[in-house]
Amino acid sequence: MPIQYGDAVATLSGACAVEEAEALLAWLDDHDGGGVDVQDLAHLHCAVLQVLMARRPPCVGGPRDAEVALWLGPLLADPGIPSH
Amino acid sequence: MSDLLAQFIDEARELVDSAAKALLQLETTPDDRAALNDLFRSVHTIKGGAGIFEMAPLTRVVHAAEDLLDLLRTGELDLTGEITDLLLETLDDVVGWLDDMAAQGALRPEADATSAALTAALRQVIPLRADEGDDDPDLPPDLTAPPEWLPDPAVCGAQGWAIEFRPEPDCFFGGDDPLLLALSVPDRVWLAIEPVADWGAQATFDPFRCNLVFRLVSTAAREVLEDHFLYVRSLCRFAPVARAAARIPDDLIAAAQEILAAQVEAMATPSAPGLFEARLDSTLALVCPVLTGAGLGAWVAPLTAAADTARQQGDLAPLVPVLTAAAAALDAPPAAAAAPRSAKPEPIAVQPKKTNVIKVELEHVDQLMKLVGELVVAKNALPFLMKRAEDVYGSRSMAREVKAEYEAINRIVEELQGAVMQIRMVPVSGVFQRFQRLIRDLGRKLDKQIELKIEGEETRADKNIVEELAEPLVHLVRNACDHGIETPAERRAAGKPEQGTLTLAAAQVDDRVVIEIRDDGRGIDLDRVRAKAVEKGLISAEAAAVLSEAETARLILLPGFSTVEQISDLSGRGVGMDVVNTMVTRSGGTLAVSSRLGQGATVSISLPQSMAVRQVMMVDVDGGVYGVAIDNVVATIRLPATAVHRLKAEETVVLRNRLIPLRRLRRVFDLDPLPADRDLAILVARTQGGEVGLVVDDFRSEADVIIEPLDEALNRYRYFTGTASLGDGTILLTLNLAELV
Repeated sequence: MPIQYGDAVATLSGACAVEEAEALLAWLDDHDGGGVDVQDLAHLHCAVLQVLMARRPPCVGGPRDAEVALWLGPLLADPGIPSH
Repeated sequence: MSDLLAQFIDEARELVDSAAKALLQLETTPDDRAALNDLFRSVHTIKGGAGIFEMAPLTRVVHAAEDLLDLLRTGELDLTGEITDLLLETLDDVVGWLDDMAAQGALRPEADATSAALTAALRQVIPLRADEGDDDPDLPPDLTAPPEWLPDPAVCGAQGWAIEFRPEPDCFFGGDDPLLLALSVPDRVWLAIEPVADWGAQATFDPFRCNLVFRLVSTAAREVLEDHFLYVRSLCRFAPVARAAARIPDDLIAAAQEILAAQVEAMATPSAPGLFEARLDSTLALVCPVLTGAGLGAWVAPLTAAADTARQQGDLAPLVPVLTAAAAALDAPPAAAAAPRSAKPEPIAVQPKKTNVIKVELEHVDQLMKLVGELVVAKNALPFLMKRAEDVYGSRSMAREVKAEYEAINRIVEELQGAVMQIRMVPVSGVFQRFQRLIRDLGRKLDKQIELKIEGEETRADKNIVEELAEPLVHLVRNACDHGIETPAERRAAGKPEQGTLTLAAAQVDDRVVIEIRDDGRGIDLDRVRAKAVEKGLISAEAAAVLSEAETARLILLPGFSTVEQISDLSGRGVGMDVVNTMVTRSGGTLAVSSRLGQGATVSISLPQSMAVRQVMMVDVDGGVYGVAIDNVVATIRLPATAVHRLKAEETVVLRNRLIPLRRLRRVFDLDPLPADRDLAILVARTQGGEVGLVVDDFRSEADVIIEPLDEALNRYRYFTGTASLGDGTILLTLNLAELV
């Protein structure tokens, strides 16, 4: 499973497909203050990205992949709209 | 002229060339997508560059041409002869305007009118097919101004395209992943993802409705990007991103920094009352173009904003931080400016490409060539020194040592000379390519179908030689099209394909370049040539009768010869083959004509690869030294005075069963004759009128010399073509063989 749901942290790894979006959204809404770990994330579907952007869970581990960090980083780290 | 403008003019010229090439290519192969794309890209790039400078007429025309090309690209319009004419005309005008900008920094006064007419003509073609609407109603127009979301150019440091991609809300249901599409954009240098609208209340949020807009910058070509976004093209808007800091020369940056620093410094002094407004305006007027020119166009807006604040406060102080920050941004190379954003190394596309080619002004190379030439001459002084060491100082060992040194220097000089000549070598393709256009125009004018074939275009020769070749070639090509190749009807009647072929071939033969202009036309009617030459009094009937075929063909090179009764406006009246021949000879070349009646004619030009240093055979005549280009020397012989035969008034000798007419140089130069019984030293030289034996006092060795053309004072002595100075300071005159026949 690309997303492992723990008690307080959902770990996204590999490529997260569109199907994951609903479950992730449900988990985030159920776990107030629940964080995400995207260290091993390679790619995520736009829908999953939207969940992260809309809910802005605290990010406990930033993407290790430099390429992913480049575009995903600003969307996670900053609670506001990313700026350049 | 600013560096930027000079750079633009240089680039634009190249782009015009490649556009013209692509256009002509398209005419023969209309389906050539690559050529069409090349054409579009070239014109598009010119337009983009021109917009930066004050040349609205040029920008306008190029813009219209680009729109037209876009329709060709989408297949809504077919490339017709008229459109090609129109586009070629556009390119011609663009070149003219570029010349104007290069020469006087402004366009000629009538440019505006020309541009308006041409733009109208181009636009007129457009609606013919596309009158159902705009070019494509589904496609959103390009963003006109650079979008405000564009990152600081220093960040992406790219010239390319900014794209705003707004996927449809329900796109996920079609199986699309817009993020993947955005991430896989070729040569992407920057990407930002933002929500289109607020995410809304927690309960109403639907992750499966796409609420994102992707903004990115790529350095890839427009068509590559268009292809990438093919299926969502209607959701994308493009905007060109100008070349940014990465390509701006260092000295320009330094100059801009200096200006900004000076402005900041000047602001420390308070304004005199009443001068504040003027000072503010002049600061803006100065700084804004500097910022734009240095690739910091993004700073203009903050600066203007700061200026407004300053105006309200009546104080220049708000400008200082902006100017300081802009100066700092100039300092930061694009890579450094981008670094704080992430740990990711600079995108590869941003790094300036390493190149193994440098552009050097021709004058530097010429200077180098000249110095090498002088070195060659200076080197030639050593053999004289060697001789003096032996003859005057009686030291044979000294002479030997000098000789050893001479040989070492000689080797280096020869290598140096070779290396410098290599720099000046350019492929003849530069000249050949121009003929695509000429032949096309000639063909249309003459109603003939002519195909140009080019062979050996990678053959290289000295830049000057290649350039001097252009003019004679134009005449020869015109002659071949005009007189050589027949009309389609005539060709059909003769059982040949309707389309005539003209071949331009270049090849290197030893250290010479041989250019051939071959046509498969009617060929040269040698009988008619003979008759015409006799009729015009160029040759006697008896002499004409015994001429070989090759010699007869050469008759057309004589001044005043022209076989076609009505002179067409194409080949022109003044440029007969004799003029062409003179031009070729002047460049140190020779010209040969051969033909087979009904099958075509070939003119071949043989030129030295490089003309700076020439080898001559030296001869003595009454104490003077004269030179004959070694290429023209057939033999040097000594014969007893009794070997001379007299044929009418002419003296001849028999050499290998051939009669060689003699020219006694002492007689030609009006000097006292040598004793009649003395053996004759005869230099047999090849000339256009056949071989000739020059009777000289004595032969000398060969020498490498730089032949300087005669200046005006000496110009009237028709027996000489140039002078050269020898190592010992002697001046050598080179003989004009054509006049000695």
